[in-house]
Amino acid sequence: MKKKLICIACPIGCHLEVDVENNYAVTGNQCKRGVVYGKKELINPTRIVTSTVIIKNGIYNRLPVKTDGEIPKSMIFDVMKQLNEVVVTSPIKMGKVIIENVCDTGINIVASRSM
Amino acid sequence: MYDVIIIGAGISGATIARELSRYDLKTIILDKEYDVATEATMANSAIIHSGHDPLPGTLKAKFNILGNRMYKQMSTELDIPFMECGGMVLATNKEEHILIEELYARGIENGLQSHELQMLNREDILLLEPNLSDHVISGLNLPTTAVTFPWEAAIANIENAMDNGVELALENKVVKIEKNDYFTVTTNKDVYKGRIVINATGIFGSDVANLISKATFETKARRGEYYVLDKDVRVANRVLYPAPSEKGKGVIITPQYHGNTLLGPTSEFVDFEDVSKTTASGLEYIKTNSQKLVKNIPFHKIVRSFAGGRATSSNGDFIIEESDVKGFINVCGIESPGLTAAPAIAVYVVGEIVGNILKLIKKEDFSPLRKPVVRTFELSNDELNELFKEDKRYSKMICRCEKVTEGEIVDSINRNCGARSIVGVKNRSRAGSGRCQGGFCQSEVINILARELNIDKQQVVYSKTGSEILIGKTKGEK
Amino acid sequence: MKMYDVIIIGGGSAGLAAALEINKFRKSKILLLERDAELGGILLQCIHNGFGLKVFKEELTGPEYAERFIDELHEKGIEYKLNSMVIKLHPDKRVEYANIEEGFVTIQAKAVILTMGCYERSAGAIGLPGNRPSGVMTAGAAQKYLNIDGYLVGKNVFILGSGDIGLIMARRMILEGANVLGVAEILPFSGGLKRNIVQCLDDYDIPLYLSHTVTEIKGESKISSVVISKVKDFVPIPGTEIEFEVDALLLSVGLIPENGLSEACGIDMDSRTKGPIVNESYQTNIDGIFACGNVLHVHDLVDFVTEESRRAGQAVVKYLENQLEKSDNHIEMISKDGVSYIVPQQVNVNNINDKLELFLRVQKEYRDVNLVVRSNDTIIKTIRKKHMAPAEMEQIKLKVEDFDSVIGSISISVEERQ
Repeated sequence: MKKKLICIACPIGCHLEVDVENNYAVTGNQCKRGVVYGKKELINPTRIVTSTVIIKNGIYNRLPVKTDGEIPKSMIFDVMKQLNEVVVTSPIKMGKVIIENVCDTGINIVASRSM
Repeated sequence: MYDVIIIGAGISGATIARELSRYDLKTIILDKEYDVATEATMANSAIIHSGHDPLPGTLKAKFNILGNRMYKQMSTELDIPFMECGGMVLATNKEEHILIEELYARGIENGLQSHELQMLNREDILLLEPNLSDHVISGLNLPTTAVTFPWEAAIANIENAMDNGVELALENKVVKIEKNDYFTVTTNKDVYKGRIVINATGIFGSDVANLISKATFETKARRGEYYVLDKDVRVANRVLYPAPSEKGKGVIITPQYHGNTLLGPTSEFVDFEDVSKTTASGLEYIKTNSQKLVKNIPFHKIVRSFAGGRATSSNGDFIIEESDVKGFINVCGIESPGLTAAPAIAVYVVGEIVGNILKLIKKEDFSPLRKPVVRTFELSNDELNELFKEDKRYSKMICRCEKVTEGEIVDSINRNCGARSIVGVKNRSRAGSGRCQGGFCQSEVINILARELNIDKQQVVYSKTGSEILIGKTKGEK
Repeated sequence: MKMYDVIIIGGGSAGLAAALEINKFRKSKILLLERDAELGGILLQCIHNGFGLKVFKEELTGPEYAERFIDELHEKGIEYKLNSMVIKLHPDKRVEYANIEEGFVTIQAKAVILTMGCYERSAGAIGLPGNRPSGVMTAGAAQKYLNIDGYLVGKNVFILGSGDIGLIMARRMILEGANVLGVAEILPFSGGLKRNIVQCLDDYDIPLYLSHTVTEIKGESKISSVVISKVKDFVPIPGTEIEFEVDALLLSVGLIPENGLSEACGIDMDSRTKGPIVNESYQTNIDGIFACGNVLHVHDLVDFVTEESRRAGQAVVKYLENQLEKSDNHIEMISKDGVSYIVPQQVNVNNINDKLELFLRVQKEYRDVNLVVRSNDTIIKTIRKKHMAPAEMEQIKLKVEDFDSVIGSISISVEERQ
């Protein structure tokens, strides 16, 4: 079975074909990242999540945050739920860990700016 | 008990309210909308017509000429933008040339002086209007044509009326009118008693008149659609009319006081609920027709399109009379040139109709002056720095496209008849009227409205009840 | 009147990069004027990742990308003013600005760099048919409410336009608990990056309606529904209407360089880019006034803005050192078949060090074609292209030697492969 995908590793957006039976062999890619993406996307798709958390005493009411690595796509909404539970207080430095090992993914939520 | 209840806060109700406020009378204005001047007064060409167009002998002709001559003084007293740019009716073929010659004769018959209108040939017009299209062969020059800012004209009249004691009750839709010794006007919210009722309800004129007795006329809604061009392009130096047709004055090119250009209107009878809807065909019609008069119109500089209804009465003329119910005065069918005629209509209604019913006693303390409005773009840096010394908010720029400061926005909220919505702020201060249409400044305007009105940001409305912009917080925050 | 070597108008990605680049090569008195309360511009509300792949070789969010530059600006001690709105720019390089500390102030510069960025095409500008209720706003405005202020503008949302901001906002609204019912695009292809279609729409099963546009907005005080129709040659086809009940319609229908100040100053504009006409040194027709970033032409990636602004900064250094040759004798860049615009529009070869980078956009999607650079009939350079699209800016590098045979003008066209 061959699966068609569009690579999201960079803005070019190569049209990939992944041969599932043939050890997820990837064709249509222009670089190596396509091979990695094609296989992973079918076995265990992952994404970076960016959102905000409530911040007190900041110049705004929300602090932008991100996962410091990719998390399983199926966990995105679980992570979002966790973010609703957090309230931080200014000052915060960019890169500060806001939630450690979020939802047991091994990935941290970090502040994506100082405020 | 009120002496006079005015129903309708458009330009007619506004000028009548101000005229009444000169006298020792207790007056209230009722309007069903969230703000004043939301219908025909909001969606028209902003032109103070010279009086060349209405048929001789009509009320339209009479009050147009009188109103035109009153506008400058009213604008000075109330600090309403007024641009004496002149106007011109353009002919693009022989038939139209004959038509504008007829307009010339009509203008004279209506009472215009010879210096107030002249026939010009193409060469003369080109000197005045360099963007003229190749189709134009001749024109009727109308130097007394001017441009105002219609909703500010209405707002300023109501503000001044309120400064002089008139009351305003918005979001009051009249549902019942009864008369015994006096009128009892019932709205969705309240009951008002008055000796005189003035019906200035625009497209709803006959509906409201019918609440008390069968009206002798019917008002229908004629929709006009418009395009607004950004203010850094000047297509025409004066108001340019096409030769008129049975549909009205046609697609007019109107330079606006703040530098924008208005293209429109279309003209089509529609149901009341459709008066504010723009259509693809209507906007296409404006594009096609405006290019008959001038060339090089930069349509990529359009910042906004809008539509509004004007009230056309079944008898074709203004209706300004006491109905068969004594004390119930209809001021209806005030379509073009209604904006021009409004101050003259007000003097007539108050002096000749109200004055026959109630004794008019001049108020000693009446002030005809409205507190001047700061318009940053009109001032020099020295003047602006004088303001800044008094109030720093006059140097905090909120609307970057139109250069409107926080000081101006706060002032627009805290006057009589002040802004209570984002559109209200825009209509008074112009914040959000520019090329980004509030994309950048709307959130700041919400902050200011919330602070000044002492409400939560989520309660700030765009234009009326139920039009809140911010509908909830993220992260489960209440 | 206070004097500066350089005044930079706008403290977003372009202004920050230009300021730092000038400071790197020449000790100069620089002033960066920013109208907002913080430096960083629109990057601050672009909290998604995807920035910095070229400049930092890593994937950053918008705020992170901005903060790296802001930190460096602080480190170098470059002067800037916040909440300071430039009111007027004069051709003699006097700049008038206002803020609540100083009031209305006029200052003088030797050189001015325009870095005001761009704004979003509004609902008014595209003449959407129907009523004008609340709940219709640009995607960027909704993004600011959501990401900076923490407010939702709708629970059931439709998006018109498949530009990247619209796609990004579709995902953001879903993540924050709203339903996104669909995205309509009038063109037969998306205006956004393919990766954004995948990770913003496909990931969340949001339908993309290509060759569709909004044909009616319904609702009195608040938008209640939106009607879309299929189009053929931009004309809606009757009978293809689909109605969605919504409380918000977000628009992602184009970005326009913000040139109010430039036009009022008398700077010549390019009707295609909607930005100033500049030469190889990013200098406008007015001596000493430069432009770079989205005010010049709308870029796809902030990395390109940074690189362009660095080049502009270097040119300004040369200008301050009197090393830029003034000459009206320049080569015109002409967009031919398939090319919609080229930046810079004019080139004085004597001001090029070793190579010149040209940026262009094509008019439609192309596969397996050549980009051909000619002067008169002589081919100077041919570049093979597997794929080109209007949403993707193309870059061409010309060496100084490439100009040896050039007379008068250079044209660039898209051509079939022989």
